Amino acid sequence: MSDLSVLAKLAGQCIALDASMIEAVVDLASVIPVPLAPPHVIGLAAIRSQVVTVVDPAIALGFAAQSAAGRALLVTIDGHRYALRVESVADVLPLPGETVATLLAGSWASVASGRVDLDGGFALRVDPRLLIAPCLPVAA
Amino acid sequence: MDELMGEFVAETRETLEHIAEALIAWEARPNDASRLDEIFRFVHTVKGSCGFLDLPRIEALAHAAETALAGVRDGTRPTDGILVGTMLAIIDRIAELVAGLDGSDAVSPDPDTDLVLLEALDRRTAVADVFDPGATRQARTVRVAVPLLEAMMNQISDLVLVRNELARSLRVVDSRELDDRFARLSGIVGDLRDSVTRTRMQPIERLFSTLPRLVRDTAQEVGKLVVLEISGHDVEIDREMVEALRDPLVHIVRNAIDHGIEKPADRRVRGKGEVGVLRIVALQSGNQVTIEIGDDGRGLDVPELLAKAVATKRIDAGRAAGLTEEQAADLIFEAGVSTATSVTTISGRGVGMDVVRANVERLGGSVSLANKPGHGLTITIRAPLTLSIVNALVVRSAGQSFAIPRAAIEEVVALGKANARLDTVGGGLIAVVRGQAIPAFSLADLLNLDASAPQLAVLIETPGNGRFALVVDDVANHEELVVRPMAPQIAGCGLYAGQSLGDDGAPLAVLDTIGLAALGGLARTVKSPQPVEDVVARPLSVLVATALDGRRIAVRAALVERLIETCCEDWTRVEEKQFVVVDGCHCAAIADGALPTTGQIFTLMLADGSRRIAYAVAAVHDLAPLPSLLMPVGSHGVEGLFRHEGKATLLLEGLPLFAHATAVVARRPVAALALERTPWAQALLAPLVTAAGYDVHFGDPVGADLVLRVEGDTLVSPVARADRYDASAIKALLVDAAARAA
Repeated sequence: MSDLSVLAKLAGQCIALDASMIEAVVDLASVIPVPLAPPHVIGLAAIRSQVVTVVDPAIALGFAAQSAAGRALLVTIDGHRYALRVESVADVLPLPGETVATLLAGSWASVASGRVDLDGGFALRVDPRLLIAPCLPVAA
Repeated sequence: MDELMGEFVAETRETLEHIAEALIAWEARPNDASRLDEIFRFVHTVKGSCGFLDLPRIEALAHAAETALAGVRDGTRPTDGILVGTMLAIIDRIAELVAGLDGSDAVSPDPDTDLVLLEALDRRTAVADVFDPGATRQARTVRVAVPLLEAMMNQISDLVLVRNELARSLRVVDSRELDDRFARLSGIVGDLRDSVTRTRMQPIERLFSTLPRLVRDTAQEVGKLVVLEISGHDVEIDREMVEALRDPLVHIVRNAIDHGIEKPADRRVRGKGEVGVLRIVALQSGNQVTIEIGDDGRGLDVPELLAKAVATKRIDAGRAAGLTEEQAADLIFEAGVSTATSVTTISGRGVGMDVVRANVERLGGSVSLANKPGHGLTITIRAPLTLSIVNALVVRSAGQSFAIPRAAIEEVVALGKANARLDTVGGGLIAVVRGQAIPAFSLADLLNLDASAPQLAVLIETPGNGRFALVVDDVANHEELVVRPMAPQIAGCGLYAGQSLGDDGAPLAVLDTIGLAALGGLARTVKSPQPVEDVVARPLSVLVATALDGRRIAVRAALVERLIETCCEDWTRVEEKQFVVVDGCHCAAIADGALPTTGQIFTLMLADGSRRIAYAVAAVHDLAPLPSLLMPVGSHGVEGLFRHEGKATLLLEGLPLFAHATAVVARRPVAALALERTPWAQALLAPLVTAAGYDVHFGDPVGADLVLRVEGDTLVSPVARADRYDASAIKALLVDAAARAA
């Protein structure tokens, strides 16, 4: 069971993602906006001569938008390459695979599968595949 | 020597394909001298290479073909189906012999066949198909996993980008040696890119190249007349797709000719032209290639289809009654449900539409149909692409760049010049290009971008949505783009055909012109061979203009057929009547003021369905809704007065405008003069008959509307007689005849 996780910060919340799903951590310099795309899709960027679709998961989750340029996690979902904007990336480290069930509210409930205990804090385990679409909040 | 032979084989194969296509095109238009020259050149080239490489058999065949063509050129040999058939057979034979040179087979093709062909050509007799023209030698191939090819494609794209960056860096370094070496590297990178592209993609032309022949042969076999129209030759398609679509395409085409298109006599009875049209259109939209195969035949007989389906127990009667028209037509895809009354060798047995659909769906594609009973059937195959290479034009609007596939672009015109301008009409934009009005949209507006400074109009032609103009700020350059599908989140809005990287390394969104048209409000029309409307106007409205005499006037928009521009030299006055030249003919016209002596004169072409008149104005302003408050003013030719944009405007009465209009006559009646061509007949009688509105023919009265004879000194028509030299009596006779015919 793969236990390497990427620890990142999104909308003020610490999240842990399975490292095997994250291809790279990159810094986006410029993002070309795509008119009339859904709000959480902020545009296209070129990473190592490949075009990626830049998504702001904060908007998808209903939080305040981040800036277009900045740190992002590269993932490939269903054959399409995405860059998920995050506030920061803290670390890549082995974390216990099991999650602790925890009370989740709002849109986090639809993307997080549980809590991971860290030294001095907690992180939500999130499946990156759920961050590319608007996340409707689950009724509490 | 082997290398030379290899080159010859490859080149000749390509040349032969061209010759076959050219031959069929030439058969349709035997007077096309340039086509004949083309074929001649090809054959000559093949013959020349043969002589150099010592290939006497092929040379003999090529020489015979060349001689036959020379005969056609100098008129000693007729162009007929037999000649074309024999030529095609010879081409196939040469192809077979050439393939044999590849060295793979020990057995050489039977020389007797050569003689049969040469004799047939000599004796001008038909040749039965001596062998199957479709058979080709197996080429040497290897199997390669698709991901590996994709990796190659990506690596090449990276290589090209790095090459570009290197080019920029080298600009500041001044070294002749470096420049030369870089130029070599650049060339090799370009070639490598082309080769790698070709491992994946092929122009869809490869799929279509055998169709002209197939259509010709099939049509002949079943006694139909069919003309084939193909468009979208350069749409690129995955090689995987080409092979998988070949059989389905053949099946659909054969069906269309065998069952869809009616026999010439039947078509005539239904008021259609005797020659049926089979139209094949390939287009690329998004990450899909769409191939539409449409015919103007009898379409699917849905009640018959339902009956057959119930009879073969595909579906029970109860369900059958509840199906919509579309669902019922879809039954054609069920195995065993063929409405062919007789199983011909061509279709109706074994390979059915069910197999076609299964094959296409296995690739992730889809097949759908649009049925118009009595008018034709269009089958649409959609095949997905993982990537495609597209020639595109990069445009800029409101500071952003977008790519438009070149295939969709008809023309780019600069606005504000004499032949192209933008007008606002009823809240929408219209581009007037060389007198034609085309619906226009600002790209910035469509995409909700900040205001831009439109300078150029890109004229877009979409199959189905017609023409429209996309107004942009600037046009950057042409680029060859590797286009990948947009992520589903973006693809869902339907405006983008894909994403790509521009030459400068920045991402580029590729626009979907069909999506743009839909966004702008142009409705999709079902495929039909009708010309696109030129003017977009609401019938219950008026067109406001300034007349030549300075009055502000309006004309009911329903009467305005189109806007054109004429110049002073085209206008003529004969007594109190005026005429202007339109489309090469004189048309009755009205100019109620002084015509400008220089520049273009805006002219409204007014038509009421049977008559037409040209009305010159000083300027055209706007379309406006029919005024609700119209004040009668008792002035001749004026319906009333109303306010438009704060100005008093006169609505003109329609009827007086058409008082002197030219009748729009589709065909003049034919008068046959069944008498000797004497000077009296030619110079005295014929002009009178022509003036009465007839087309005059001497001789055969079959099919004429009026037949005139002479008995002694009397002119005789079926119902009246007149003295040969009595002009007024003859005129009366003619007028009477015309009145009877009406």
